[in-house]
Amino acid sequence: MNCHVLSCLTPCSYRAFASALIICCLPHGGLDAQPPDDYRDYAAFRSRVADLAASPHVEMESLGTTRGGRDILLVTVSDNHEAGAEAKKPAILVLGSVDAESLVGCWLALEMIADLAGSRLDTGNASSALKDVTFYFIPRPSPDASERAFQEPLVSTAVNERPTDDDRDGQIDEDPPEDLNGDGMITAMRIADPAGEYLLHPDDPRVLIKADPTKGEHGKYRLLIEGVDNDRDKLWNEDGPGGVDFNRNFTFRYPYFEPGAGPHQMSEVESRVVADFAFNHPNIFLVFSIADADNLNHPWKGGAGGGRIKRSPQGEDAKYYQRFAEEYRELIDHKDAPSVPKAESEGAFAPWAYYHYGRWSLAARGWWPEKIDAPPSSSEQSDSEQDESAEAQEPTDAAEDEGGQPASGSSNQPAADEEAGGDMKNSGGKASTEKRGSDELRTLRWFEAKDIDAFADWTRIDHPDFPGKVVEVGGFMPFVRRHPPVGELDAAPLLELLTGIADERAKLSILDTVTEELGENVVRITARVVNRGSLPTASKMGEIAGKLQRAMVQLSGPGKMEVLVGPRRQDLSVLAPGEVVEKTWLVRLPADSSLADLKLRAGEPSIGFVESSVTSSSAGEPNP
Amino acid sequence: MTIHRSIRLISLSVALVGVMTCTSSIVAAPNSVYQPLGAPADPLVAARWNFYRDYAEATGLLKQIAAAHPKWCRLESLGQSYGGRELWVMTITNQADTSENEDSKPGFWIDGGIHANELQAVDVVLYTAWYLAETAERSEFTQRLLNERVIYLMPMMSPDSRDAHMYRPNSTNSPRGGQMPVDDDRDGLVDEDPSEDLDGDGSITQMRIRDPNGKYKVHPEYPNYMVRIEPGELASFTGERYTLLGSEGFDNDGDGRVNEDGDGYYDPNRDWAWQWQPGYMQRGAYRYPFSIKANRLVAEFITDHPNIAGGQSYHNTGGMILRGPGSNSDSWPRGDIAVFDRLAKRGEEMLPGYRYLNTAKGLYEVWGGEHDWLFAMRGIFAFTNELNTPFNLFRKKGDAGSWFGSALDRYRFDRLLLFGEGFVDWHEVDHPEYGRIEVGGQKKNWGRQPPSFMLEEECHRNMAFTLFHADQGPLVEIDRIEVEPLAGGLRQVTATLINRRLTPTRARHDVQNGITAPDRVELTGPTVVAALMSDSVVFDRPEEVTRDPAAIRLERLASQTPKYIRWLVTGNEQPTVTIRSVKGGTATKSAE
Repeated sequence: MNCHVLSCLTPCSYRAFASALIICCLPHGGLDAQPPDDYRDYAAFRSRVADLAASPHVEMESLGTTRGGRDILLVTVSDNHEAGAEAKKPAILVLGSVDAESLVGCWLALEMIADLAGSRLDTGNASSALKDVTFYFIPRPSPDASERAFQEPLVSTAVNERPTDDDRDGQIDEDPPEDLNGDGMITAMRIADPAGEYLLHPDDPRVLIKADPTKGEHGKYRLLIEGVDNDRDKLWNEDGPGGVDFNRNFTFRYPYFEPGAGPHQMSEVESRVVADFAFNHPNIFLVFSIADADNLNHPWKGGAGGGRIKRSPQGEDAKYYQRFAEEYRELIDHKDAPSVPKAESEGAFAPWAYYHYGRWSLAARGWWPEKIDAPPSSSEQSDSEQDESAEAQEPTDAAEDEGGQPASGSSNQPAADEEAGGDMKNSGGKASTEKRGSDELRTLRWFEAKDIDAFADWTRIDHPDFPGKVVEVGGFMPFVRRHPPVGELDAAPLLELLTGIADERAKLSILDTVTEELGENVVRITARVVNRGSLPTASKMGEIAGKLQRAMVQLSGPGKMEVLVGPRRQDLSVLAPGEVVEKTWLVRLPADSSLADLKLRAGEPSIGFVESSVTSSSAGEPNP
Repeated sequence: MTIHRSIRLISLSVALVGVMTCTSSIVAAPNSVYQPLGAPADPLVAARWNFYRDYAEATGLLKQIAAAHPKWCRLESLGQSYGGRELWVMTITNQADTSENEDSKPGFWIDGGIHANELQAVDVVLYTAWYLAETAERSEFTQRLLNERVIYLMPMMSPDSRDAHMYRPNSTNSPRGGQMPVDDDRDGLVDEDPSEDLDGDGSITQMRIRDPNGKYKVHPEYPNYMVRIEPGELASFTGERYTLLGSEGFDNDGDGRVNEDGDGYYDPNRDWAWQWQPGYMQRGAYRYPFSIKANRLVAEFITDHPNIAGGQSYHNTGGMILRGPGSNSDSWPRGDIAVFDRLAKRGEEMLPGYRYLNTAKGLYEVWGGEHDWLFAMRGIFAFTNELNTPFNLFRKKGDAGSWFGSALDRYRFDRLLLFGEGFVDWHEVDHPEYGRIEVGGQKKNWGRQPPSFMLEEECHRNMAFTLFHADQGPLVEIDRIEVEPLAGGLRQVTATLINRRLTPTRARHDVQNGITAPDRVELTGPTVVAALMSDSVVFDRPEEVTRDPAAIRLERLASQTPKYIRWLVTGNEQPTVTIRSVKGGTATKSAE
């Protein structure tokens, strides 16, 4: 994303706008926004969850109610719900639309529930890993914000309904965007301006890129969100309706004073109920979110680990994140997910779950446009085609060509005239090595290949704020860009990944116990506990964060048993996969009791508990 | 100064700041009572200031004050604490103003007792409420303050634990947190291993056992005082020896640790949003900022009152006036620190033995502390006073950097002035694990709290500093308006705006981050053609204001630093200038 490009003008709560850097050189009729039925508005979402909850393995409850009166729904999938059985098993927490403006996450979460409950548990077709692990889903954590996808004018925004003073001028929501061309959508507007910062992309004039003055480039356009400057502060649409972004309201690297971040960390009911749910469920060992803050396509890299405030995976954790990413990549078809801007982690949910909540936290984008070799697109066959200049680079894939030289020099500059069509330089499917705008190009190509209108054509309007200037409205359609036809989405690899990790989770086992009777009912008990899983019993950050219960091993026996050496409840250290730890007690049993009265119990809620009786063995016998 | 003259002066100062209502006046004390200076001898609400009120008593006092002084005081509850106690806030101002006007007056926030064991912090706030109410019609200073400003007082930030400290076994150091049950030691059991009051005297004291090889002995002069036997003395020492066993209690849950999970643990003063860090960085941090309900209600109240410009929290102990930032990695604008410095230097004069310190550098690092949030996220110049300076024991400088003074001074003070009431004499008890041992030591009402005869002075001196700070909060004035005719039917209206107090209308940090809205200066009457702004009396280097020229945005009014606004206008109407500052109040003036 090019968030930084417009950050001075654009609240990040509207950050999706900032990437709508698309214009079309052949304006034609406006497109009406398509109601995205498949992605389910709130009512349809609720009713789908209610349908799913008909399964005996699925339970639904509300964690809280938003400002807009919508429930934040929790769906619990467990083999067994009797007597709180789900809370007694290790658990995975899945969040759907962490980026509230994308309903892909919610859609995938509901598919995972249907698959997990319907195709597996209901049919008795589930692996033991699925039976032994509880799955909590919060498919739509910020339902008010997500509902904006169903309200006119269509706008891409992740913020809820709290009125906020985004530009901190003392007035609230006073400069919203306006649908100037009446197409039912808020897109972008560009103003021909020799002092503007933007240029047309040499390969596709629909894409605007930021000029680089150090390379002799000069901008030709200003680029703004569609609308007027209601409050006459020379900022356009900088304070629209709402609000706070769920995914910028958490405590890790909180972006103080930034639009969308809210008055303070966890200021919103949405973030608070999710965090409280997490803290109240010590059985959760893994958090999975469908989010742009994607650490499966772009795994977090371990840092030096120095510094008191932890901002990179600690100890061995980076290796495990690498392993999760490898497992994920084996399951998905295309591996070219867009990179993650640093700002995506500021106040975001997924890093919070690792750094502050202390659980393994995995996140992946739900969907992104697969790279498609560009056929000559309709827009590139414009009436302003020019011959490829002799100096042009070989056609290359801009995004992959790391060593490519960005297009520069006067021959690649847009023409000075202000008609969009006049700026065409490349055509016929040959591409320059320009890397700027590659995400936009890729997205355009993907939608073209699918024959989907994903952008609103550029239309000229008379703009009251820019008398006498050429102002055009157009760009990516706010909803469509992030929402392919649902047939393109696939929840199966995600569920496969989680099933695999459920199987890899730390699993304690009491290997054996040895008792030595020393006489006069004095008994020495030695037990060995092993982690039979492929994950440690806690991540290093989990140890540091201190938000997991400590794993303990406890000896219980008759009430009058004296513990001479213990204590009765002892800490188990964090056990790496395969690691064995030995614990010893010296007790004196009451005369009327026997070894059969002794029991060992080891574990903590996120790895589960194991119990063992204490078997008798001859004194002095060496440990097996 | 005669009473008559003071009334005139007050009316004049009120008119200057545009407060419409001023019906009060100073009432002379009846001749039948000889009035000491300080608090009145014949208050409407009789109150003693030499003991500590529990929640019910404090609630009763607040209700009495509100009932006796309806013209000045209003009592409300922000909601209930975890334990169901009301979270009282008393608003003191000239209540004849409508609440709309009230919010446009500069506000000041005072709270106490967020750490409930820090007992006198509550009483200082109660005293302040009582003193303001009782002197509103007797003191020229108080009345002007309450006409100009609105004071919000929250005496008990943690009322559940205040009663827990008083009525359950505790030490002077407990409970610091609230009463919400928390699994302190992360073993899946909640509050399962508290301290035990083995001798049932209400104080959690210390345990010792006679041990022929122990390394402690009693102090030769003060037998309650356990001192280490010097290594060189160990071989030759023939007296009774002891081993110390920690504070009263036993291992309830069989994990080998004693008293590791009692009530509380979470620290309500590590729960505020600025520079909040989780528990691994900041011990006592709970889940996230304002995860403690009482704090969330306070934060909402303060956020809903952006007019609050200054703040004061009371804690103990050690005699300090603390400002932020709480972490060494944080830094605030130098100009703002200079404001803190000017205020607190005066405080050091008013509070002998108190030292003015930056929290992080002078005390220790605090991530997510309340006064940091007040300043850095609400733009409020706020201090924390650590009450109870060891200086007060014998009115001499204690050990530098010491919070409690030297142990010998405490035992000496106890013997000379408390007649030995500060300590429990060592005596034998049965311990379920250790057998026959002894308990004894400092009582819970000695250590952090002044004894009765020192409490009232502590209350008054701290209040005086806080009211000085409140009085030095921003207050906007329109110094003068000059109108000059220009050629061609234009007139020039020039207004001089000033804030004569030590605190700016907006901190630089506030301006940098847009915490509160800019001050607005409106011209009504004639039609505005253009607006210019200058920092100079000769209107040097004017700057044109193009956005809303009839209601211009002013970044701030710094202390004693005039701003000059010049409008070019048409029309013959009388020009009226109004300045509205979120934190600096409102002033209005018409041209002659």
